[in-house]
Amino acid sequence: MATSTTMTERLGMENETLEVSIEAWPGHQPVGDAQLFDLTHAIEAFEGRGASTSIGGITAGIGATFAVTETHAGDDPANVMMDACRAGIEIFLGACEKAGIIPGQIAKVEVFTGSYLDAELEQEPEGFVGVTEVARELGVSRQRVSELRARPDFPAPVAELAAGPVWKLSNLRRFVREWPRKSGRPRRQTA
Amino acid sequence: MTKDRVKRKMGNKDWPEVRKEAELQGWRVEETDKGYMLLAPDEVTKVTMDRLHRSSSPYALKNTVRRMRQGGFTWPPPRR
Repeated sequence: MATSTTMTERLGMENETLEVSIEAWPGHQPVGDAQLFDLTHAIEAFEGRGASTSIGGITAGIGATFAVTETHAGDDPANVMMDACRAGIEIFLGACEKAGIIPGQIAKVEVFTGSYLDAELEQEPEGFVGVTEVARELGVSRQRVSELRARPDFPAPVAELAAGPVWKLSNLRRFVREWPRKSGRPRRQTA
Repeated sequence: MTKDRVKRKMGNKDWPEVRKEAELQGWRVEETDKGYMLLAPDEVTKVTMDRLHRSSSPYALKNTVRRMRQGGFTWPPPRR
């Protein structure tokens, strides 16, 4: 009898560490520095490894990132991701209780592999440029940049400072790639 | 001026480099008997890191940097 492979079998996990990152809304009681450290150590005690905790950010509440489990080659990704999410929440809430912290509602949970974390931390930060750098990037004068800004396909600046406009380098690179550049001086417009 | 960068995976050994960069970006690093407390320039966001020798995971520093990025820390360091 022929065997069929399901999608989850074909997309089985590699041997990986699974990480969980959790953000909670603020609780009713303030959290002191010592409690935040206690939370870090409690997560480790509950077998969440390499824990880092924080307070602040978008929620202004507490958050934590830690490793929860190891996956094995061929594991069903849906099962291991769901299990890691559940384990992460249980560790986080158990550790909060041990540290004497009553967090607000959980706002966000992320589950990701160790290799994803590596890739995320290797990602170059966004670069920002002004008119001089745009001119250099396009190989034109600063005056020509002012003319090009009138084109509908020229990217809008992300900020207008007193010193001039500022663009995201990644937005500009797309324009450079797609700009149908013509050699020579642009033809004068006649009425 | 730009320098070509060699991409390599971050490990706990990179703590001195991360600490130096954090201080350059306006973070304050406080060493306590329980570990490191990193205070963001907004003076609201705080991130803890256990002392590395006590941590059971090679991901300890990476997890710390991920939390710091949520507090506005730029990593890898911006080109200067």
